[in-house]
Amino acid sequence: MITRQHTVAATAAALVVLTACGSSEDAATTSTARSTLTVFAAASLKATFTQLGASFEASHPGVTVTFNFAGSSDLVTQIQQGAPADVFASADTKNMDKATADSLISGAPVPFASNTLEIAVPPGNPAKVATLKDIINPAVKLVICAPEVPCGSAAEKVEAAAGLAFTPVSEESSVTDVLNKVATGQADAGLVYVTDVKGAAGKVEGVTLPESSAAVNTYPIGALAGTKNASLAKDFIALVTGAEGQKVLADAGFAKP
Amino acid sequence: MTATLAARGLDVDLALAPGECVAILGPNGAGKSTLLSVLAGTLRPDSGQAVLAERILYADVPQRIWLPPYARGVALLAQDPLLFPHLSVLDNVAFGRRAAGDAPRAAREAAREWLGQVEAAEFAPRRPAELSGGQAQRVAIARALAAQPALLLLDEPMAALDVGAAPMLRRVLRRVLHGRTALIVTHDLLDAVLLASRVVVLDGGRIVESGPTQEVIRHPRTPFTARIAGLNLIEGHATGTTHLRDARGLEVEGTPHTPLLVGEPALAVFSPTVVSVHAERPGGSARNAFPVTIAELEPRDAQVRVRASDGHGGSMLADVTAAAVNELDLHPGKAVHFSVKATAVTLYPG
Amino acid sequence: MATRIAQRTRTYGSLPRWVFVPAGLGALFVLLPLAAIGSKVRWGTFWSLITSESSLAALGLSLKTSSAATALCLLLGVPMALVLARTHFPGQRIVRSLLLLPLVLPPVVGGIALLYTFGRRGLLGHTFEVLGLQIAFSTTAVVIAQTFVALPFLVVSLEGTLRSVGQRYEVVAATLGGRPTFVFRRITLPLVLPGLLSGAVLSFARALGEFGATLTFAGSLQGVTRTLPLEIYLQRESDPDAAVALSLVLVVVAVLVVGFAQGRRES
Repeated sequence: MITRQHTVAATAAALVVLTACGSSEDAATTSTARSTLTVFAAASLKATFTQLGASFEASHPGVTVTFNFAGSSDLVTQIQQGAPADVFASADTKNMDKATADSLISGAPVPFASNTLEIAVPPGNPAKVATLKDIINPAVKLVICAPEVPCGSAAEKVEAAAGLAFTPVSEESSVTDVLNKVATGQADAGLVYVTDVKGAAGKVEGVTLPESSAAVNTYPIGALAGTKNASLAKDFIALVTGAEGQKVLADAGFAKP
Repeated sequence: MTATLAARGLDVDLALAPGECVAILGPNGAGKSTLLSVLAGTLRPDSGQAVLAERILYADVPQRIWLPPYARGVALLAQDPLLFPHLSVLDNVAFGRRAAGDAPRAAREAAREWLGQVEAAEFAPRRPAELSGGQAQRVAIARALAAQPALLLLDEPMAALDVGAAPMLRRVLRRVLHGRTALIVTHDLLDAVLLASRVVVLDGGRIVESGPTQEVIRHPRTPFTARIAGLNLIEGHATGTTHLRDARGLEVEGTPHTPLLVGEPALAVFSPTVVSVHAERPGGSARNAFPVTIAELEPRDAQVRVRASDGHGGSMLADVTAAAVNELDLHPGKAVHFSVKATAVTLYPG
Repeated sequence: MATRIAQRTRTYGSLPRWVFVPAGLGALFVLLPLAAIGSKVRWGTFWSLITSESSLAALGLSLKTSSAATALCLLLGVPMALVLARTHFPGQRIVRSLLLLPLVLPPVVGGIALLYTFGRRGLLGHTFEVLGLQIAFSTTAVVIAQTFVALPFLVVSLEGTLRSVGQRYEVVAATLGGRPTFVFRRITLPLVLPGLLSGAVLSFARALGEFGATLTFAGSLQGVTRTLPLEIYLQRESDPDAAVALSLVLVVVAVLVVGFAQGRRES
């Protein structure tokens, strides 16, 4: 069994080395001319970080910021498998902890924002949802995230804090899927982030959730230990945690960390 | 029945008496298979009508009628036995009865009987793939007959068999066709003679000859019939009571079967056995001499059949001994003369 | 009686030697990732992972829905294949191209299309909703999604077989007095059974692995709509070991299914 794993690992390693050789060529061209900063960020940060990325490029001529937006756990898996990244921003501390446990982050990650849940309903609120109690009504089609993903674990906490039991018709793997099902009217209500409702203004309406304070997702950001652009990474993190970054995040609906 | 089918150039008018077996002869592409398909219901004719045992198979006046094949009571047997490969021989033969609604046991009983009739009873439990060509054809006949058709159509059933298997099949057919209304398409004269009481010759989609078998064979009226009857036939116009000239100017002298009128169309017929082959043009009285070029030599028992072309696209046959072939050094391409006594040539009104 | 050892006659095949190289590479290309999964499995926890409540629910749901989808494919696909292979009507080419579209469409696109048809606000879904029939978020939706993507496999496979077998036997059967339904039952179906079975197996395998359309159209709820692929997709967020273990289960099931089909074909 060990020998087999070794042979497979050896073959896989050979392939990785071949590709890594290719990509390290690119990274080797740091110097002055053209640099690329690779940022892995949670999907919910897409709008805000894209904006900040443009701002960063403007203030750092010759630098291109490329993003990889995906589910936080997907990003961690990619980093663990050796994907080249300079900065990692996660949607919750659980996934960032996975990365730090594997010594993939240099230094301590910094919390830069937090997000809470809100009820999203289709335009016109056809099921007349006003409070959390309304969504446990079996006649209301509720869609939430599965507990395995950050927004799902937050939903679980809200559930527990309110002492209720949700009966969702679907537990999605990503908050975007929840949002889509609400926006298209397939679901009567969904639990998504405050930022999602704001970002989808017009397609969904929001119903504030007082109980959301029971589940707050803190977003940490950190530079990768294996980055070749340490100073650029530091600059970007400074941008995010600085005044400009915080304003952009606040406008989108994020709360302070 | 009558039928026209423009796409295949078919235009026929045919009638069968109950229990009569009629042989259909004709060159390739004459429309024989088309005719059978129209009767079986696998081809729709452009016009015409057919009535079988008071059942209208198809008609166009006063209204269009067309019975699908399964409602006609017409069974078709082709060169390829097409036995259902996934059923046993017994179940194959029982198929027609089962299709008619019989219970499996009764159908199988009937099937066994028919298999006995075609001398194939021992094959009952076997699969079609295990049978030889001849055996499969016999089973196919049993299958067709077990369906109790009012009309049986046979499309060159012996064509795909090797020579050894044909005699047995012929024997079986002779037995089962007795008293059964059937149409058999064949190239083989022997089939027409042994199995059919009447012969119909189809050429270019039309019936060109029709009559009792012996009559047509002995007195063919078309080159094709003559050829398969193994006879020589020359068509032309009578230039006298005993003379005929064909379209290319060939003069033939013969003995009239019935008195000829000058100018009317006439036929000259003579057997290959009365033809002599000469290297040079022979003299002598009352002899017809035709310059020809040898096309083919075909050994037949103790004799050799020489087929030669007359230079105008027609063929002529002569039977000679093997010794004569050697003596005259006959080979394809050699120019020789065929000569026939006038007394051996029969002339008919065309 | 002497025993006959069945021997294969070795005939000349005219296969260029170099063909083995790209063929081998191709085989490696497919087999290596499978081996990689196998190597990543933590065998110690394997059994407990695949027999957990969520895993068993997902596996059971997958098998149930795939079987139902395959049955539906047979009910609908056999007539479709018959019409495509044995009849002639204007526009047949176009109709066939459209019918095979799910083969090329990304499954997610298929899911969206199904949503717009059977979803609450969809073409038919709206009527169903009014009648009290809930399709979205139900197991029925999963079966619909799987049938949608698997149907073309059956149709293509069967149509090919029907064409190659031809209609000669059916014509003979008709002249023997066989009415169309009788002939279909006793002649057509048995003759195309091998092609039908391999088509059904392909459909089953496709339905089993269906992900994109199910996710978009049916949602994901344990025991109701979360099939094995969806479960794997979810597990990889929190428990990669479970995801790998379940992936291996899916691979094994697929190998069994395809292997069964091979065996039937050769027999």
